[in-house]
Amino acid sequence: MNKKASLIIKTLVFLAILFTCFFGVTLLVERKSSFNKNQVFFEEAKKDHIDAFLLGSSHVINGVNPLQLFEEHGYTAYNLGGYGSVLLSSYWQMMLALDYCTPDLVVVDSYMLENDVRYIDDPNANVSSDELHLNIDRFPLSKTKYHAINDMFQNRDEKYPYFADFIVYHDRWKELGAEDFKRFTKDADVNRMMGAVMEYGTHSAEYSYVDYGAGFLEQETVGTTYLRRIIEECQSRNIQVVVVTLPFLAMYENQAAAHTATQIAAEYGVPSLNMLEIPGLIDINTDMEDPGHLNVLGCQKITACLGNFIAENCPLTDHREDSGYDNWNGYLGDFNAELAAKCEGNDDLYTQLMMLQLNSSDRTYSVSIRGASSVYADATLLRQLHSLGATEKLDQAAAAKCSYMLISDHGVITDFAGDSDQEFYIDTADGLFSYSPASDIYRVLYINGDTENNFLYSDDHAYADVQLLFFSNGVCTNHQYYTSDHFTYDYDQR
Amino acid sequence: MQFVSLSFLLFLIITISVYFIIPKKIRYIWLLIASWVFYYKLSHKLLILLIAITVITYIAGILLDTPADSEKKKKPVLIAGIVLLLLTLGYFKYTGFLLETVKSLQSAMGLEPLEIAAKIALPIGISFYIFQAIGYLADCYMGKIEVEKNYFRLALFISFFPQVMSGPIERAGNMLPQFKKPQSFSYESMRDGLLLMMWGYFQKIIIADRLAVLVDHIYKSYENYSGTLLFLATVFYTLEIYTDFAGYSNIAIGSAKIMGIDIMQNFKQPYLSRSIPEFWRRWHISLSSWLRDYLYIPLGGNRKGYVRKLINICIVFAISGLWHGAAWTFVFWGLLHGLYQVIGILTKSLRESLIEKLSIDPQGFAIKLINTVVTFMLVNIGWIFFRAPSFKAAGYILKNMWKLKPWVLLDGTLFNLGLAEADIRLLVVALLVLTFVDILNYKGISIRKVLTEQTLWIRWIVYVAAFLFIVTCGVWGPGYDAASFIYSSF
Repeated sequence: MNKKASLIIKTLVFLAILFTCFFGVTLLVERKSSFNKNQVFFEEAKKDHIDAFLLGSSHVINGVNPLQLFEEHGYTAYNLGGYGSVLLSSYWQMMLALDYCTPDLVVVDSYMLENDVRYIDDPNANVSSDELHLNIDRFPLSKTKYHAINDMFQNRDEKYPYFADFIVYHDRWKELGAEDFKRFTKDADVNRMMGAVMEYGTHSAEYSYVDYGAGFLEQETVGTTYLRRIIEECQSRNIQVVVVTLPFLAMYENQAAAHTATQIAAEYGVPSLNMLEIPGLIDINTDMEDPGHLNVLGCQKITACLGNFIAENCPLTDHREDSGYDNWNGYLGDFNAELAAKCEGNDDLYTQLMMLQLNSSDRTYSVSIRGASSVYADATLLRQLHSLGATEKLDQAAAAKCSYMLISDHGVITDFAGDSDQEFYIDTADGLFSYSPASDIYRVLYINGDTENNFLYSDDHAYADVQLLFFSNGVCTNHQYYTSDHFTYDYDQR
Repeated sequence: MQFVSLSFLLFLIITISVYFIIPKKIRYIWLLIASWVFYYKLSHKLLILLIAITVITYIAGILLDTPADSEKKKKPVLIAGIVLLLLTLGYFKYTGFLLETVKSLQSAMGLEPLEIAAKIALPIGISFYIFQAIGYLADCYMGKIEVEKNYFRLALFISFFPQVMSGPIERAGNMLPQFKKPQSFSYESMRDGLLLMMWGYFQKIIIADRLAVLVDHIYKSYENYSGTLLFLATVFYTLEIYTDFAGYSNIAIGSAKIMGIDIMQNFKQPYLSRSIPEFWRRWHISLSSWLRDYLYIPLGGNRKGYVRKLINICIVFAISGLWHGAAWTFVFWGLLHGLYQVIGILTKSLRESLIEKLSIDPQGFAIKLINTVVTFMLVNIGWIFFRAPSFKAAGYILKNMWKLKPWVLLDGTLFNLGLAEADIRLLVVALLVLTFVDILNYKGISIRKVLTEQTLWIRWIVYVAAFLFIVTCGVWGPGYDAASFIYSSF
């Protein structure tokens, strides 16, 4: 071999090594959020295990749980919602995903249909273009991605970080952790909720939903244009479409956008579901993390509603009994186990009560509030207790600032208000409870006549405002104390 | 199109690939096209000015191409050519400065200041390419080189893209022959060029752009600082301007080297100098030697007596200061260096006798170290005037930086100057590497040469690791306010 050929071969080998190492470094330093959110999509798409795409913004990420759809109907949907996504980015998210699989159904949320900003990097856009990294970083550079970036961005310099995210992520060298290195192993952290993210908080404000009697959007917007493009693209590929508007604290323009979405869907003959106008579907004060995003409780209700709507209007294949869907069953099991685990031991009182609303029909617990407690002024707490089943006795206790006790026996609620020496007996599946609210501080709860153990009083926690007790087979399995300091609750557990 | 950009790297790859594919005899045309495209991307319509300068220089050169004995005909042409070039430089660079100076004088004299404001954009690299053109005319006049008859080749000499922005200020005698007889592709040249570029990027985006954050942070509100932190800021700037400009020069020289074109060295470990004259033999060598050849010597150099020599030195350094920037702080910086030299000359015999009387070995390590430190400090003081926005700021810094507060090095203060903790630690390591490499180079040991003598796998590991380190830890991309090269504004 002559010198020239040897040099060429050596150069090529060197370049191959260099680019391999460089590629490794790009994977190492990349922000893992997009990998985390979309990795399972690629795995399932490869197996052709995705029958529906869920498109939209963070409303969809938090509002529709694909695992619940699978559990209740056997539908396999992937949540492709993106934080800050407008219809323009949802369209391209769908196009990117379509390169990897063709679903039977696309569900698209109409939120921000009124948005009329052509480019995501427009300074007037009410979205952060940075958030788009979550949607598209994981998708390898392709012709579709090239068109997507060119269509979404007007500034050339803004496009580069999406073509090659190393441009923005190389500076992460200083924050690398174990998770970054796991990118090269099979135990990397991935979203096991099929793209969804559950929120476990609840807002503290008191909202009421107002129907503004809005009509329709007055003109075509960038949002309507891309909603039409989504529908047209799906119809050209024989994919069914459902246009939805998930519930949130919608203002006049949002309500007009929802009506317009319904109108556009009707134009194309596709089903639509405006959940803003389904009365009593959610309680905006307990089912939302904030005025825009559903919490896990709201998500459960919305997903159930959407699942039923799909079943009625465009049913998909039930895969629950199909072999090969191990991931779906495994992830569902993990999610249910997580929910069960979250039902007890939450240091946040609001989350704790929300989790009891979500999943308490299989247990016995009690909630006790001491007399003269300041928490009776906590409207959020009272609202949550009412949602759990507290009766007007709670309001009486709040008005009189006396002791209050709620006992839930597998969903059957009994409650007491007042301070007296009187003893109350409640026969539950987990034992016979004897309750006596002797005073503000000193209350008595015995089980099965065991007067040696008063579960409601201990010197250490005498001034705890709220006590939460879980029982099983006559034994208190968990005792949680919440002490309020201006509605910020200190937590202790025994 | 800054050197620190993906577009430049792409431009370089395309330019070099085409350069080696096309026939040798038209390569200079291709390089000229590439150079003008490069300059257009930098300065848009100011490319016309660059082309105009090449035309003026070409015509003046042709007019100088008369028999050697017709001195009387050549001199007016030379003077006219140089005056025209300097007027162009003066108009674009110094109009605003002159107006401001006149206004200040009018104010000081109680007169109503002029109501004229100069809004003239400074063309990138104008100081560099005009000096290069003047050098060419002077060399033609002195008969050092033959007049270039091919306009495009001369235009390439003035516009050559690696240098047009910030030098090195090359000589026609070195460059024109290389354009006439281009080299064939050489693996060694490519490797050396790439390694030099990599070292340049290390200096620029690993060190200089991090130092820039610290320096800007302190200089922006210098009144809020005192003592060691101010002192550190001055040292940081001293290091920043070196790594920034040397980094630029290495990228420029390396880019040309890949094409087999040798550009003169611009820096030789200047901060290891033991005297101010040595510093100027090692700092911005292309400018220092230009000033020596085309200003100091024509002024008479040291041939016209002791006093005239000292005056000439001061003139040269004042002009050097003015060349760097249109502000009195730059002039003062130049004069200060002239003054350093004059004092050095005046006290030379005194210093030598003192060393002799104290029986100090002038070649001993201690005296070498003291000389190096003193020289560094003198240069450091000079840079304060170079960097400070005004004499007032420079005065404040100079007055308040001496109070010893060493605890700022240890109490986390450094981590609150705009750079993350990890960046500071990386910077310290990078500065140690820079010092190590400079010391080895000073001793005549070239790391590049040592590296190329290693076995293949060691070389490759070092190349790959260095590349990955620079692209990963370098200050570049969105989110950064990567400083453009300091000297590109001169």
